[in-house]
Amino acid sequence: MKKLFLLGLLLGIGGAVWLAGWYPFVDPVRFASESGVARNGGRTESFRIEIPEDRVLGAVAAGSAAPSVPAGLSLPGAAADAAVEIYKLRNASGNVIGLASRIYGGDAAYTDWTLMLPARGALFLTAAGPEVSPHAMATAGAAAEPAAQSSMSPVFKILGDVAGGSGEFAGFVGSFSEEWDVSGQDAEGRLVGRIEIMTLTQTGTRPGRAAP
Amino acid sequence: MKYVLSLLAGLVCGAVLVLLALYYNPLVRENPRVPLAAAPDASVEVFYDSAAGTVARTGPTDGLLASVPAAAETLWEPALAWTEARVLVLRDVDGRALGFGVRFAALDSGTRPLTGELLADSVWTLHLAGRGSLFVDGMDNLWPLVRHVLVPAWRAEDGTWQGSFDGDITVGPRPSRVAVMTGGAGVFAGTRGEARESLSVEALSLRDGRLAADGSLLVAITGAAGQGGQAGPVSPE
Repeated sequence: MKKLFLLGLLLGIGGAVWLAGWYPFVDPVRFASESGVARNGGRTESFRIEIPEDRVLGAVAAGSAAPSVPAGLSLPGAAADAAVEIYKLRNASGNVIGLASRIYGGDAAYTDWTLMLPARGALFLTAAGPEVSPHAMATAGAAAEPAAQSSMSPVFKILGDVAGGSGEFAGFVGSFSEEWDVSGQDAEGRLVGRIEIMTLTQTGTRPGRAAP
Repeated sequence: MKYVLSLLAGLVCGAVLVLLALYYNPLVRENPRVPLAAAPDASVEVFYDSAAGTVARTGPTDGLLASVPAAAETLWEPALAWTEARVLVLRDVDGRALGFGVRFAALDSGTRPLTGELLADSVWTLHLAGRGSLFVDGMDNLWPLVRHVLVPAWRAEDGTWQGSFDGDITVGPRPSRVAVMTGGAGVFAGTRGEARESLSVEALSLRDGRLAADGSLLVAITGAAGQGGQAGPVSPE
């Protein structure tokens, strides 16, 4: 019996050491990259966000018409029209593969995207503009041309640059396009449709603009 | 039957011995504080944040910390397991708000308790009003936090911990154990640099998912036209 106890002790120690050293405690689901090769060089990959269901969080500065900053917090005056939104990010097949943040606004209009893909890395995208928000454009488009809103139609598009990357995207340069395809608004006034982010990247020299 | 019980008792004792050795292992070092290897013309800025300054936060459905706001959509998809998103107000050393910070973090599959490594990949987007954005990519080791804060809170009857924990959490991805600033926009366009994140925790309640903590992010920016923040020499302190 004593020998069995010692045998169990050794097995317990060995098993626990194996678990602590080699067992994959963190082993989340990962989807293969759906990147492609551009016709004239470079690497293409597109990402998708379904709105409004993929919108996770949103916050706008205290000076905004619809502040969501908790009481007691104040942002600098220059950020009065800045806003940040967090989305779930999908691959071209529609699987959720990461998170994305979109920061926009400012006196000189800008849009900064951060795409975080767990286990793969992050892509940082930046663009000048737009002067008008996608929501305003979609609303104006619907008012001017109601029939166009009955089906999915692009209402908003900007082009920008890849400002940096990490993980498998480290050292990447390139460009991206952000396109909003909107089919209408839901009962709460939120846009319904899809945001498509297309990237054209390569290491080293900067390729041309993303051309979806 | 008694032979089976003896074997099982040995197994349990062996496993418990290893767990205790891992928890109290004196060979596992705290995250070392390392200096940032900045160029001579680097601009150094320190951004401060706090749990109280959290504008919004979400994580897994059964996560340790509460969502802000409470009704925020949780990250329940399999690909987002052990992932967190947080929006914070960034302040300078005098407490003046500088802008937003968005922090994404996801546990890394390289996590190995045997070597005292509970690794998480973190991605910061620092948006500084009127100046632009900085993008920082880091790897954190949360093991000291688990050891000194989470486990004591879990062991406490009321599920709370109060005390003082101060330490750096950045351990990579650079071999020199610092985070990398991979790019910027606005006045920071074309800049590069290094960064290091520190955390100071005063209380944790597992019962309601509340954390009382302050954080700071030291960024050394090369080729920047930055202003504000806390400028000064790059030092290990």
